[in-house]
Amino acid sequence: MSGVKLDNIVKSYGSTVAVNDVSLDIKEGEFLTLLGPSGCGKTTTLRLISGFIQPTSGAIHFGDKDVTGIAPQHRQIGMVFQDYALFPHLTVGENISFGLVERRYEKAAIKKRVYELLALIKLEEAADRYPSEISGGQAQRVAVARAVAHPPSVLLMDEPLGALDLKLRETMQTELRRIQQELGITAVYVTHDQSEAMNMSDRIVVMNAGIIEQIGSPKDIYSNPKSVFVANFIGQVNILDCHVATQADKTTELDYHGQKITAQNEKSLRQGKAIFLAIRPEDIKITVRAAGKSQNSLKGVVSEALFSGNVMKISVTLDSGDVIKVECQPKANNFDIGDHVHVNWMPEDCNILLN
Amino acid sequence: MQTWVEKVILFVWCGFSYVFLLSPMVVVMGASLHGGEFSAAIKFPPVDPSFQWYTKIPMQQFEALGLSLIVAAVATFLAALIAVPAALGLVRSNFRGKFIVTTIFRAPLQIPAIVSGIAFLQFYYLIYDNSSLMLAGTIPGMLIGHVFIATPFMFGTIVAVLQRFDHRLEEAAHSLGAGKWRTLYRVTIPTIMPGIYSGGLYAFMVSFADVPMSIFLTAPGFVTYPVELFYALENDFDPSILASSSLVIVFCLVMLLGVQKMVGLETLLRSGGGSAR
Repeated sequence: MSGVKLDNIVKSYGSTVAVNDVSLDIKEGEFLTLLGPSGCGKTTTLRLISGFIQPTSGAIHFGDKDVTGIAPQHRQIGMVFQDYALFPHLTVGENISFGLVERRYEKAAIKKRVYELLALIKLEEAADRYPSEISGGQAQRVAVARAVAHPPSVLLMDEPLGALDLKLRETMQTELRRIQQELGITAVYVTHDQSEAMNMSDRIVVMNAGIIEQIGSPKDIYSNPKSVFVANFIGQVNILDCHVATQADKTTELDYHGQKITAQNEKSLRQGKAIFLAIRPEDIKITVRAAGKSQNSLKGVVSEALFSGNVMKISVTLDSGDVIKVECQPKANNFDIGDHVHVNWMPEDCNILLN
Repeated sequence: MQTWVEKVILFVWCGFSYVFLLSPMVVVMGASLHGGEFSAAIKFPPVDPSFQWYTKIPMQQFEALGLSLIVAAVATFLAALIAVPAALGLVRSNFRGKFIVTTIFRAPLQIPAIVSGIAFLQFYYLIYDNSSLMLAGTIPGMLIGHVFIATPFMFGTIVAVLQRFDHRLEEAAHSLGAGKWRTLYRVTIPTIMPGIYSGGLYAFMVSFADVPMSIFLTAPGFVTYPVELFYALENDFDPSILASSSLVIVFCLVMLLGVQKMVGLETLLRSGGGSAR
């Protein structure tokens, strides 16, 4: 087992660049998720780590070992595929032992290891069944057991839960995380599902158009997105186009269509600069009257009100024409379409983005 | 739900199909039991049924049957040796002229067997003229011809299976430490095995039943079973031919049942098809 290091990896196909100068330092035992829309280069990055494709330039290290140019079968990887890719002609037990046979384990050792793994994935009774005779969730667990049977340097997972239904997916997220932590294995996980990424990861790498937009813990990425793309991709967000009016020590006064907005901000910005202001829907409160001076407050009309059980999703069309999405408690917020209201939020809930 | 009208239509249609397919065989097997005197016209239903004609099957027909089975088995095996690598190579590569090469592998299907037969015979004579190596009327000569007509059946089924093959299975094997050859041996071949079986069954049948080509490649004392039957019919028909045919029909049924027991005929028929999934 070891960490994984990517140095300035570039992968291009003709004139298209799939992965553009990606550097990553994955720590030993870390669960790292590559997150992004389809075509962002996350799967290509995973396949580069696995060795199924080779980088156009750059280097990949597993621990101290340079594995660039080495074929996948010599890399000591574990790989889990979206559609499981279990061998249909082999039983569950034989699938799990496949890699052990290739690595020339003793017969007795293979038997012992297979039963250990069946216990780990809680499928002891399925050892002699064929892949066609088990459910999707079970197949996925077998795929994981097969991948980690001979302890790999890194466990690579390519949207492994994509084919499962929502309920099962959530159970499997916990399950995968448990297995990964029990084995203390380094894991790289690819998904386009942000909630999956948030639930499972130690760190998330948000990718877009072949480059890394941001790396950080789920919490960090959610509360401090570095770009409009990341803010939009992780959860819901309201973006307002503003200009910098004045810049003080830790607060910036913004101009939004002639109205003043106060934002807490550590960046130093020059006056008149155009920026994007990001505010999360759950940080906004709706009131009938304008809130006190300490808060930002804008006037508008309720244009949509959706009740979805635990939250009320309200859209407010501002005087400027922009629409602000708000999420709030259903009990305390009984607003109807057409109501004239104020949307209010604290300066510390503002996030100023430059691109 | 089916209405009773639909059930009746389905029943009648299926019944008709079975009668259409099975009646020739039933007639042959029935007539083989003819108990009376020799008669040039077949009698169905048999008069005074007996197995008398079964005892009169000429020995050379059994010899021919033995030869046919050996030739068909070896030809099928050789066809597999050619078709499996060819299909693997052609499905997975992309080169100029791939279409032409694929067509060549299927070409024997389009050539009438009688033309192939004449061509092989002339070709063997040409070789003999130049090297005094005589292939016509020998086992190798017969085998070459049979491999030629059997290979396209093998090739076609395996291509169909490979086109549906999930290449991730091979990637999974690589990720588990298996190199190219190990992956071929432990994953690719076993996964396409149902295709090889069903292609093999076709190839065997084509070789076993061939008359138009084989008739040119036989020699006195070296005749395949269907050709032997053909000669017998042509020269001196008697009901022992029916008896002999009936034996082969029974033999084929037993073989099919055996295959059914071993791999499951459904798996086999479904495969132009994927894996056991």
